[in-house]
Amino acid sequence: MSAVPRQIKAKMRSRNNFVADQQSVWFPFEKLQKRSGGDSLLELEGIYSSTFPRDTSLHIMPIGGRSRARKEFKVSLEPEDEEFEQIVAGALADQHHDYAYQLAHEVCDFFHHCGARITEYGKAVYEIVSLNEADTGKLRSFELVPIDVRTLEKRHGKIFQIVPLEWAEKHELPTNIPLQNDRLVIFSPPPTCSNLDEVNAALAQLGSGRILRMYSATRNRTNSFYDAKEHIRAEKLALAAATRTIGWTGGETLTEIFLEYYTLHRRLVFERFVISLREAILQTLNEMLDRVGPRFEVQSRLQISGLPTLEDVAAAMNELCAGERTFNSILDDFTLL
Amino acid sequence: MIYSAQLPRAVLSEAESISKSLRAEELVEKRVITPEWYVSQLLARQFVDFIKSNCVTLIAELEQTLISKLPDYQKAHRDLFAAQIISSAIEMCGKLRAHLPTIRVCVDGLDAVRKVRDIPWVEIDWKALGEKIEAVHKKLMLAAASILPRLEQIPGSRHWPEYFGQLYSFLARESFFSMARGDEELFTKTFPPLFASSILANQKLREQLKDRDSRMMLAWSSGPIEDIVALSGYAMLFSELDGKAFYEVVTKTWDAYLTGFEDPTGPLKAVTATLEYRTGDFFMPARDLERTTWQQNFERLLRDRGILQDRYGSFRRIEKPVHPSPLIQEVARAGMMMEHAADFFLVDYVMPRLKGADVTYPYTARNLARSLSRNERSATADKSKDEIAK
Repeated sequence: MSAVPRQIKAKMRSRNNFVADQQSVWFPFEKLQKRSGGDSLLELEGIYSSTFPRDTSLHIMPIGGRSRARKEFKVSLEPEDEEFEQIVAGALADQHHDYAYQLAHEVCDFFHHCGARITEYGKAVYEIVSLNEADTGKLRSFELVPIDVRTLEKRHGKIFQIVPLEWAEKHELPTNIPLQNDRLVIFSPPPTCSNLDEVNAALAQLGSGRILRMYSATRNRTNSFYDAKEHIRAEKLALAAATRTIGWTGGETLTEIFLEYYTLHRRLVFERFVISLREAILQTLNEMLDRVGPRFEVQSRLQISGLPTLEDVAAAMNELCAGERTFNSILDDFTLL
Repeated sequence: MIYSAQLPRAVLSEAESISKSLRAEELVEKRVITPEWYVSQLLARQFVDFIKSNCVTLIAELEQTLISKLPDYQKAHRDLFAAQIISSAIEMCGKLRAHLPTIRVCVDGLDAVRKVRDIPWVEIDWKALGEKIEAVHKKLMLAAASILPRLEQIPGSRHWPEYFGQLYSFLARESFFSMARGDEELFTKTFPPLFASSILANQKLREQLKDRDSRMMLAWSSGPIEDIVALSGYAMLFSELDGKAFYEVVTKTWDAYLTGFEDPTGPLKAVTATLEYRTGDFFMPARDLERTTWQQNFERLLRDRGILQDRYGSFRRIEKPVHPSPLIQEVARAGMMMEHAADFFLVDYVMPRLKGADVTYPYTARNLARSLSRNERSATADKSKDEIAK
């Protein structure tokens, strides 16, 4: 099964009158056999491995594209082009429909999903799928279709999607699908957070059932050497150390271990990470638009305004350090709700 | 290092906790991120909390441990026990009153360390603390007034302190300051027993000192009588000054005392003679110092109210009366330097009752009487001129 169908019927959603040129396929990753020695697989046992991407994605953009705290928040295409705005919003949309798309809503949703993928897997890969008219073949729209990065392999400069045999046979698919590099959009972590893999590797080892197992093993022993409280404290210290560069604290304040000042400092570090991630995603998205736009005879870029910036974080850190601002007011500056 | 700072236990616990947190921070970051000012603020907050809890605890102890037992002792007439408690509690109140301003300055200094205002801070209600101490103090004075006459009857012993003299001294001072504060209730309840006790004290001292030099005996034994006459004079002045009923309490007490005598002029003559003798006597027993304190306080109060000018300032004519009362005007005119509060009582209460008697009044009282009479005549003349002019 080496041949790849020229046209795989994409999930057409509401666009049944278009033909998609999608190459990648979707399948449940759990069906994929674990491959030995693969660096794309992580032993995701700990709870932090799932909560870290979720927390990050919730902080990256206002939920639903609206923010009461951020009256100036705006997502736009510059220069403005209403028709292309609908095409871009539709391309980013997770759910497709016949009525008009709200660009801010779709962009925010996309950032949530993309941010979660980057933080969980180190990369987020999307395929640019053209939607052409069935009869004329004219390009009318496009979609960004997510590909599970764990299904991808790079061989001799070419990227392949690996489909498990069972799934491939059942759906009459090849087990190796070559993907065109120029149709892929690859979102990476910001350069300032290049150690995201290390962070994830450490998080996978934390927050697991080890504490419970140790407790169970020793609870009936008299004069037991084991101190569950110290174990929990050590785990939290390890969590804090592993996430030092990104400031994430596992959804806890950790004030039982650290001073409030330091927890607020970490919060600002986390804001810096999230803003860097947002900027990295935006930059990649705009590079994608630079590639796609000419096909629609448009040259527009996405712009996001009214959200905290890296300069805001730097200023807040200075003010926090000098004791010039109340803690609450510093926190208020970064809320997206 | 924190152990060499000799911090109170509560603050040291906080310092230990902060130190542990900083070590954890260093473990994670390989350096300490938290700045020094934040640590100082946390410690200062703990210090303020420590000070507050101690002040509150001390006052609570005062109320619960000492004051709560007083009513039972008073009811059972266990006056020595009551006197011991009153004596200790008054000392404690005095120390708290004296140190509270210093503590407040210390807390204000710690407050200056507070850099970020939304970090929880401990607030101290100084007014409430002060009021609590004053309330306890008042209770103590009322209790002292109730047992003072009975204490005089307990024979002295080397096994316990001289409680009568101690409580008498406290009460005499409180009588003066209750007037200065305008506390009619306290004065009404403390002056009559103090009056009775001063008579008893005078008799007791004369008995105790009968074998001593007569000059010394008179100087020491007349102290309580001089106190009560001075307080009577201040009662008159404070009543004029603030429109309070202190002087009414005083005259009623004197009237009640004098009705017990077949010849009521007798005690008044004795008091006058004593004061006349003491005015020219340079011997200065302890009670004289106490009365000097009252006089200085009264002067300060008048000066604070703008009634009395600087006593060392140049003479200037007072164009406008500083107070409607002729007595206060007289004080403002002459100053209190050479006047004794007792003279006002002698002029107003004693002189009319000893009219025609062969009595020599202290020269200060005579001067005051002349001055008041001159002022009265002058005022009457001015009034007549005004009426003629009309």
